[in-house]
Amino acid sequence: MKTTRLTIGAGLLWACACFTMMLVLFFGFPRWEQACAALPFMKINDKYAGGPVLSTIEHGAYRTVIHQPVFPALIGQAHKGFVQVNWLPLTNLPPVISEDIACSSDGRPDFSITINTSSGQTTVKPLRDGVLPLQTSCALSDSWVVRVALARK
Amino acid sequence: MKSKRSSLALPRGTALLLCLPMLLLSSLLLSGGQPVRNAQDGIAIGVTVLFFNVLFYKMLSSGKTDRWRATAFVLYAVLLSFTFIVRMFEARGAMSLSVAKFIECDVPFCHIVIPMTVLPMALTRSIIFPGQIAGGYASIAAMFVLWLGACLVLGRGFCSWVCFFGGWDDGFSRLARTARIRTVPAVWTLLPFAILLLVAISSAALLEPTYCAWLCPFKTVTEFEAVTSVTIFLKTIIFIALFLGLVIILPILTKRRTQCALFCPMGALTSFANYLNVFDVRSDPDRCVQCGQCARVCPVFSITPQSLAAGVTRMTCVKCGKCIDACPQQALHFHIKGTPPAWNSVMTRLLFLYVSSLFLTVFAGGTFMDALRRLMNLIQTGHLY
Repeated sequence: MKTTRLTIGAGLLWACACFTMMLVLFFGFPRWEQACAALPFMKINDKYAGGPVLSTIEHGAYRTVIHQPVFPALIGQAHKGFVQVNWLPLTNLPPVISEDIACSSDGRPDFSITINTSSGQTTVKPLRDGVLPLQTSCALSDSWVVRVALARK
Repeated sequence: MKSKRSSLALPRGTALLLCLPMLLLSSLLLSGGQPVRNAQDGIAIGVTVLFFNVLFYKMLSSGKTDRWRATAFVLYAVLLSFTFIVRMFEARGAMSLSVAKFIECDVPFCHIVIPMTVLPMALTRSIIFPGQIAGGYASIAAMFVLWLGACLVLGRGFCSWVCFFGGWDDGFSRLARTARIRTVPAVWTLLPFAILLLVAISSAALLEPTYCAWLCPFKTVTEFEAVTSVTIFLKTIIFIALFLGLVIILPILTKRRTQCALFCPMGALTSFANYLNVFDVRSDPDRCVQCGQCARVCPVFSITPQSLAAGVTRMTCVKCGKCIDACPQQALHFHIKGTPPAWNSVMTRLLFLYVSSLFLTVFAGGTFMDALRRLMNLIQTGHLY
């Protein structure tokens, strides 16, 4: 590239702009972080986050939060997925939880679940087709979580 | 024999004077502009500011870049791992990640995940990583902003001045006096681009960051999945083997940064930022005698006989300054695009060093201060946290 006074000036201006940009980046960092976090694609994929909440059932001392079934795929939906159910707060859970869970749109129970919250032993009894084995059952910081594998109908 | 004084070296008084803006800005940024809360904080900030400013002064007064940069960069990598592991023990009592942490989306994010998130981000409008979007420790938004900012102002200089893992293989590559393996076929330098393509596609297909899950050697010095199955056991063997091979053994044998140069997909992606960035490294054709010393010392194989003949470095240049320090003819220099080769090389170097050193100081400074606070805590109370 042929260099002229103009290219030299532009280069120097660009280099100084880099220094300024760095100062703007660091001095305004919390603001930049919040702006980036507010972008529409800045949310955790349902495969990890568990999907939006479908329904909440109150049991007095504790409640059951059922998430929408998730069938994660790059485009469309996969054939296999899971449903996440949380029981919270963790401190108020009974020694044994036994409950029918409905995660389909018709409101009929899909599976029955029994959790021993002391030992962690969990059994899932399918009540209709498409309910696959238990994926995860463990205590989180504020709730007990279960993920049950599902096949898309 | 006393080595020839670099033409880039500044008189001590001038170097001290030029350190003042750096001293002011680093003090302001590292203290957050707030008054010091207690003696421990004051010592942590003071020692950190002093350490980085002494290195900056040495860069200016000696005319050498790489030795002083590497001192901070290697120490940064070690201290980052130290503080990270202590933090993990403090938060969860182990270096290993449980299933609960994945479900709670409480896994610290690192910049190497970024290339794997781009395609799924475009198609699913979501991030395929179980981390926190903003706030907390190593959030996704914070890493994106820092990486984009570093790419704009430093290009792939990110890999020598910002990356908190690069110091590991940079450090090991300096241990041996001479290289046991002197040549690496040029085709291997294309491997990071192939890995970038592979992990970008596989991560999109599986909606899982495959490099992090299967290949990242730095899990050895940060965190890893708790071994609860044969698959996770296999993953564990792979990442430990890669750390031993790419980060320890090969850097010692080749005296090059083999993980960064031959494997890292993030390095490959960040190479493209060199086209955006105004700073690069050039050689002065009037001074260069084609001795090849720069190509022999380049840690990331970015100087070839062809590039040298053209007076430029390859797009993978990490701007560490090692070739500039090693050139017996002082033909290589930091350069600002648009200016003629070797044009005012003292000023162009100074402009580059202000940007790169301040970025390193501010980015690494937090880790240094955290490590210092924990060490002082250890001395005072016998506990790291």
